[in-house]
Amino acid sequence: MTSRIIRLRFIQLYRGSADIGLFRALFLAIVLLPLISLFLIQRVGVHPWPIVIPVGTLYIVWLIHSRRKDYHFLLTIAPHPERVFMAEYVLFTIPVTVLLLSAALYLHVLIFCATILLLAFSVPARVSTISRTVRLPIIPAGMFEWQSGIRKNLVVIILFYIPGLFGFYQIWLSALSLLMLTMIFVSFYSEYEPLNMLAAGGYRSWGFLTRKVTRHVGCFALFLLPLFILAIVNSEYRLITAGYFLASVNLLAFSILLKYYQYRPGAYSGAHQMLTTLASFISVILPVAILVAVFNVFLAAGANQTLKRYLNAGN
Amino acid sequence: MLEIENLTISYGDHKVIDALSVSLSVHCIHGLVGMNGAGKTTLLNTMAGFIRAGQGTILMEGNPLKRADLAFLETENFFYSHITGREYLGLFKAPAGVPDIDEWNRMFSLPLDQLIDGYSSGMKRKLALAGVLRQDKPLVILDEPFNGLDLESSRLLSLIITRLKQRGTTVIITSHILGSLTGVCDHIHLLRNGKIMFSRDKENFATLEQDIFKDVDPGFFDLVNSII
Repeated sequence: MTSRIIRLRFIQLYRGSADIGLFRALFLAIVLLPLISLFLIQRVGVHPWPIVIPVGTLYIVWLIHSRRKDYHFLLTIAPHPERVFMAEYVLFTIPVTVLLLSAALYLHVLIFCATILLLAFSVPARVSTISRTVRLPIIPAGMFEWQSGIRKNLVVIILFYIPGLFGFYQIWLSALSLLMLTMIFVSFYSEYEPLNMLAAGGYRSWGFLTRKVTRHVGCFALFLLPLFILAIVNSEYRLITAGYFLASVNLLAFSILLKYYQYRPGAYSGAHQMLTTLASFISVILPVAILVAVFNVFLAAGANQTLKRYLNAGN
Repeated sequence: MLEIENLTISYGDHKVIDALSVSLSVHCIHGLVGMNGAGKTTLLNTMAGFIRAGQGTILMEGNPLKRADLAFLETENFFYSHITGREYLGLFKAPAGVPDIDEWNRMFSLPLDQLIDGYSSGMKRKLALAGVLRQDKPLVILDEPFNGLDLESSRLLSLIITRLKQRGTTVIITSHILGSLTGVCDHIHLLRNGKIMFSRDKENFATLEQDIFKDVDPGFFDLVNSII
């Protein structure tokens, strides 16, 4: 059964990649992936990358695992869904394992693989029963992505926020914290609201988009502000620090705009999750973050076109 | 017999199933009714092995009920994106003697070579049902199987359920539409506040609706009238 599911996953990947479009797929395969690979190969042995690479990858695996919707389905067709998870995650992380092995980081590989196994054999959080509701009075009522996302990731957010506060002491802690928090927050937008929620405010497409982006990006900037201040006060890399904070805020805008560019009522987009994660990783190379900012302009126009269909109809 | 003894399931401090005990005869069709939040889906999820009970046992013919003994149709079904109906059905292991997918699909008339993403909600429901039934298990649990089905498909489902019983399968169904249950079930059980309030046999279905609603506070109807 495991091999049958894995085969299906490859079929999904093949058919799903056709949805990205030929130009974007070629760009991804010929430009972006080699660029990222080259960057990672160069940095894998240099502090703090031996930690950032496996932790980042584990975070992505955790993200995938905790959002899995197929656990119950797999239970009905396979006696051990954990084996399916394990096979998927091991296959997915082979490049990182090889990368760590190439730098002779054997202990890292050991811990990395053990954590993958632990994740695969745990019950995905999505199916665990929520018995307590975390009250979030600070989050404004309309920011349902944050209310839902923070409740799902509260512990992880706290775990990554606290080390970031020590950025004045060790700047790489701040960088790691920033990357992880950005990846968590951009992932909030992978689930698309139903049409009645989208139209509830009575806005036209452009008004809806500008309000959404400014509000969410503003709140995210405020959330990151303490980390930013503590990192910049004593850091000798002031310009780079400021650049990374702007890149984080820019990524949140990218995630929101991508969501509405691809918007389909009530859907969940794996492509959104994949693209935002990829954008987060490549934004580590700051000049690429500028490209993402430029891309946002085009994305905003596209998102406006998509939303016109739903919000401006009949007006 | 399918015996549930002293089953208790809690979410935090809230007891959803409260020391529930009931014996269900096998090779019969059992209907389970109850208000939203009564614990129907929790009970079925526990039988399917999705939830671990705090205490209590579920025995089938004297042995603990195993996941391998049953086929389960959930209220909401999961489908991988970018796969065809045929690939989906291929995931369900059918024992020897069960017709091949194309023969099986003559009952459901689904476009099996199309991607499931393009199916309507009713077609998806039928596909999930086709998969669950292909497993040919001694116990079939169907949670709200009539949801999203058109009249013709509901009729087909009723026929399939009756046929399953004739072949010796035990079927447990939940539904909010009482009429869909009285047409096929041999016994109907009312679940309220995590307990079985009463069970009725086919001969007593005539007074079932009256029995279910007799405890509803008449003030509730006044409340609705005052709000709307």
